Amino acid sequence: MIDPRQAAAGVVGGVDWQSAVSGFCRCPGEAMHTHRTGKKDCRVCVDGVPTIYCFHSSCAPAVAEANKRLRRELGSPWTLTLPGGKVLRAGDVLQASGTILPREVMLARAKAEGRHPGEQLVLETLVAMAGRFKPELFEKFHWPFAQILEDSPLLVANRDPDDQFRTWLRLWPAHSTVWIGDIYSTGRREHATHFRPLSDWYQIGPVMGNYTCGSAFKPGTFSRSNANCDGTRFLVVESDSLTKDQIGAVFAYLNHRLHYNLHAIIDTAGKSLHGWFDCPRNKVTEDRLKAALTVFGCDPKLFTYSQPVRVPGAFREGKLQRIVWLKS
Amino acid sequence: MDLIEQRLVVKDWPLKQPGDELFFGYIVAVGVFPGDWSDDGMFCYADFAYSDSYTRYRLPNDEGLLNGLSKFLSSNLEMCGSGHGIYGKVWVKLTDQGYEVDLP
Repeated sequence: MIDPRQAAAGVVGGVDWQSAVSGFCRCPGEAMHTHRTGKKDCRVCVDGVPTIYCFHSSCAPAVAEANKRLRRELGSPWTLTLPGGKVLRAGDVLQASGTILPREVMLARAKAEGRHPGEQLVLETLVAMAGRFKPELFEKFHWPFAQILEDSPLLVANRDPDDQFRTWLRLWPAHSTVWIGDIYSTGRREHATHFRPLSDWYQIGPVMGNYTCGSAFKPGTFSRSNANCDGTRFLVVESDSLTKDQIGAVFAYLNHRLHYNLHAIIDTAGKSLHGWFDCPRNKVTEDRLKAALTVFGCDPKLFTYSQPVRVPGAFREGKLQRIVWLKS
Repeated sequence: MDLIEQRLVVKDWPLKQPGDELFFGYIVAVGVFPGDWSDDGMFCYADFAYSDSYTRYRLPNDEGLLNGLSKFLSSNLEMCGSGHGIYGKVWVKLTDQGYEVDLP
């Protein structure tokens, strides 16, 4: 029976093992890196779906090829005895808590959630891997609040409330019907006044409430529900556990490494920042992103596209909700 | 039926002195626990859910805190009842003037 760690080393060379199943290695596409390579930029994991993952994106073809080799090498059954005596089998996932998630449990979860077993394995692997490279991610993509302000391609943070609001309106396609109100401004016919085309909002200004949605709605709607979204939407990324100096790393990772287009960052006048991104292209990508972002400390409910979020230009207890970073 | 696979442990209220603050998550229940049916065994609690966790805290006897949590619980009930997602996830801060309960 093969030794998965030896097999992995056969593909990537020497591995600096950080746990029984995961360690830093030299990126198979290091020569293609366009930025400086750090010692902790590339990881190999042998549990779940065996994977080599590098923080650089220019090396993607070489990493993809190496991943094929790694999975071929680890394609036959193997076992690995962990410190403490537990036995990990091919396809099992070693969780952050140290417990083993057996492949049979993943199959049952896949069945319960109507998901392909292979995709379930990918999701569970992703969760485990995201936990492993989270410290490096926050270090490598560190983007503190002061730097976000300084890096903004357009200087917006000090604009007046009306200007903030109208600048934000320009993120939307011209035909969009947008909801602005307070949490309860929805569900009854009289709330139709909170669902308006952009042209109306340009006239009205930021006076109808503190909240909006990352989604546009069908014209004539009076209820802020998923069923009434018209398909035009942003992914608004936020965290309740990460500080304003920490969440920037997640924004930078999404933008620079995963290539999600970042449109704006909004200071909620509270404890958090909201990053407005293009939404995932399909449900599979969305589920994977949701799994990883949850591990990074983001609220999984942000994937409810009718969820209210803070609108720039409105005041919250005397403090301005404002755009602090805006793409040119 | 969706199940949250977790034993429900009642945690002590973590905010002890002015300046302490914590993000708790979505407020999903406030109630009274009957305990062993003696006057001493009963206590008020609040339940919070966030991501894949569900946590119950024993509440101190503080009217401001109870009212603050109940306000956001009511808003969650109303939103949920009208077919909308809940929004009331809360930070709680203990100040010299008492508890402040607010959205993030």
